[in-house]
Amino acid sequence: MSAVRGLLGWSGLAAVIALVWIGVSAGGPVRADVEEDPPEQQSLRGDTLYSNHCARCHGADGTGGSNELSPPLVGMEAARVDLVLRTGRMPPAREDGSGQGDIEWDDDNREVLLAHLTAVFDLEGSIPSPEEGEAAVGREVFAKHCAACHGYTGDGGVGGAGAFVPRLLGLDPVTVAEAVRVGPFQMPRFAEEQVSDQDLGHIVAYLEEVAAEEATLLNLVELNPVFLAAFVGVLAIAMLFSCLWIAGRVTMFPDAAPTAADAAETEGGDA
Amino acid sequence: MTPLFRFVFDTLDARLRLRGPAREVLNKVFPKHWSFLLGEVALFSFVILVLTGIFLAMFYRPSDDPIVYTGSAELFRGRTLPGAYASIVELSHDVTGGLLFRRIHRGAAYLFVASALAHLLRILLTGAFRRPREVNTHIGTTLLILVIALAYTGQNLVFDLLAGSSLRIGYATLGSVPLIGESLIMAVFGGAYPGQVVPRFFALHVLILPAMLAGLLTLHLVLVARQRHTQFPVKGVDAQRYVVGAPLWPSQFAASTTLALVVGGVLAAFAVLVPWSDFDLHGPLVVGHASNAGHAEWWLFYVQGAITLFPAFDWFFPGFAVTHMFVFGTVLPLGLFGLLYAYPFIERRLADYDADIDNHLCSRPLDVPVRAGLVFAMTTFVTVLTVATTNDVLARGLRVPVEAVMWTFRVGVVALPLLVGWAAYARARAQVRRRQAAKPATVEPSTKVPA
Repeated sequence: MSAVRGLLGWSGLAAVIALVWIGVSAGGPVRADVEEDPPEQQSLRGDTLYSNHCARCHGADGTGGSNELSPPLVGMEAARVDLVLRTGRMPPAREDGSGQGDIEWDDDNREVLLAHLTAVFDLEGSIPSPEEGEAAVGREVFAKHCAACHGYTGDGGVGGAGAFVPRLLGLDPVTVAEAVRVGPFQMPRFAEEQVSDQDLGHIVAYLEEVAAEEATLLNLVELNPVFLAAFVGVLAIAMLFSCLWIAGRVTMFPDAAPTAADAAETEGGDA
Repeated sequence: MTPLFRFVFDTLDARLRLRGPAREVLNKVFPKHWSFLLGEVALFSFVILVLTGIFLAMFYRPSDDPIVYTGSAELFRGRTLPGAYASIVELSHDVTGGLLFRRIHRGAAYLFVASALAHLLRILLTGAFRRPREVNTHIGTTLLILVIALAYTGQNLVFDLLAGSSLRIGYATLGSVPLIGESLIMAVFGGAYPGQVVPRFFALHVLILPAMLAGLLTLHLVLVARQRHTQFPVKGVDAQRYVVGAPLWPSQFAASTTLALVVGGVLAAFAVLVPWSDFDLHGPLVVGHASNAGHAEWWLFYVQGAITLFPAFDWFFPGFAVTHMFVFGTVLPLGLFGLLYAYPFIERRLADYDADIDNHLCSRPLDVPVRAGLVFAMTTFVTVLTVATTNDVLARGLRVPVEAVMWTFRVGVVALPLLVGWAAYARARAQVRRRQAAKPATVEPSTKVPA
């Protein structure tokens, strides 16, 4: 009886701790929402972010730098700007590897910067937001339009001439949608006649399904034939050791053929 | 012997005269060496393939007619799929144990090819192909071709996107043969890609090829028993004349049973851990679709490697063309198998031992310089081509352009076989010289071998 009461006591304590923890962690974002910056202050923040992290290459007026690595931002598609920010390509990591500037590039900072750029540099278009889709349809759309470069599992591959096709798993839906519409770097741009907004949602649903594929105990899902071949190698080694074990000897090959001396010795023994 | 067994045996023996042959079989002597078990691994893989294959055949639909899948797989429910692919989705997702059996079948197929290749290397390196075993060597090479044909047909029955690429390359290879290319395509595919490939490959994979394999394998084993097994030199024994080893019953029976259980156990364990044959994400074969990072199955890597590595060319002649695809997709693999068939005769010409007597002794890999050089060089050649297929994965892993990896392999495929072959030859020559210096008067017992 006392054991049961002890158990109740401990679980009660655990429940209190859990409640407190939930309360504290739920309190975080609520507080942040309350302290929303007023519009002027947001614009000021955006301007500061731009001059601190972008202006050195793209110029204070957004007309771009001297080479193709720093294109003019005026009139660029908003989705393209958002894409390079979301995937961490911009602002570039510092040469000493200390990361992208002194601040954390979270959603809040990105949105403030983008709003500022849209207002100041007349960024075109809007940020696509994929709707809910069906993975089974997405698989077919993906096989038709995306798999040739990104692979049927969305794992990516080589693109030739030093270009690599990125892995798509783990990207957020908006990033995927932006890339399809904008066609960054070597990727072709897909217009709405080719990949409809509905299809975008299906593709995203498929990629989420791929990421959620059931894995084996070794945390493996469907393998590229090259990695399969590596596991065939492991299988072959396992069988080789089994053969050595069953044959009961560890020497790979026996010593040299019997010498003349051995033969003479044997004959002498027989005689 | 239990009384019941004695009664059954005596009754049968009185009518069928079993005692004599049974004793002969049970007392058959098996020399002991780990490498002699490689062929047994292949044999047990085949048994497992037949057993699991019977299970799989009960669920497979040998047709590519489109049907609507209605099973439980989230990625395909309500979608139209080729019948063959749909039946395997159903087998994997809706049949208890289906995926496990598919994975064991796939793993056993890989092990079958791998152990057959290892067995081939053993035969080549120990000189077990010499007189009087040339016939059985050629049977073995033919068996390897059957194994590869079985693996190719089986892999493509799945009818997924990877099978699509694999079939497309097979189609292009057949079509590349000058003059008769189109007839070959009609004979195998029965029409434009993918043609009638599913029912045809099904008949080949479940009936014709296994029957041929089983028949030839029986002949292979009967000849091994009839010609007795080769063995390594045994100290103090004239091993050309006497076989030293354990009898079939009970020693070899126990060892082989253990090996069979180990093969089954290892394959089952791998089937749980490694998703050999999962293919949901590949999706079904759709003409015109392809995937980046797609590769052949590993035992065809060397063909893919050859097609990828060697520069493209087309030579046009009046009436026909000789293409890069023909030379490296068709002639090169056929040439390698031609070399395998020819090798026993090549060595007869080149090696400096008496090739006209029966050889029952295994030599070690570096005992005959010509053989060591050729086998090591050819093995290296095929290995470099095999590894070259992984160029995209290597390029990505090393963050270098894939072209740089390609050029490295292009140099490697010429230089490495020469280098390794020469090193093996030199090493073997030095070893032979050393041995000759150590024992000037060698006893040659092999000249008086009874037939």
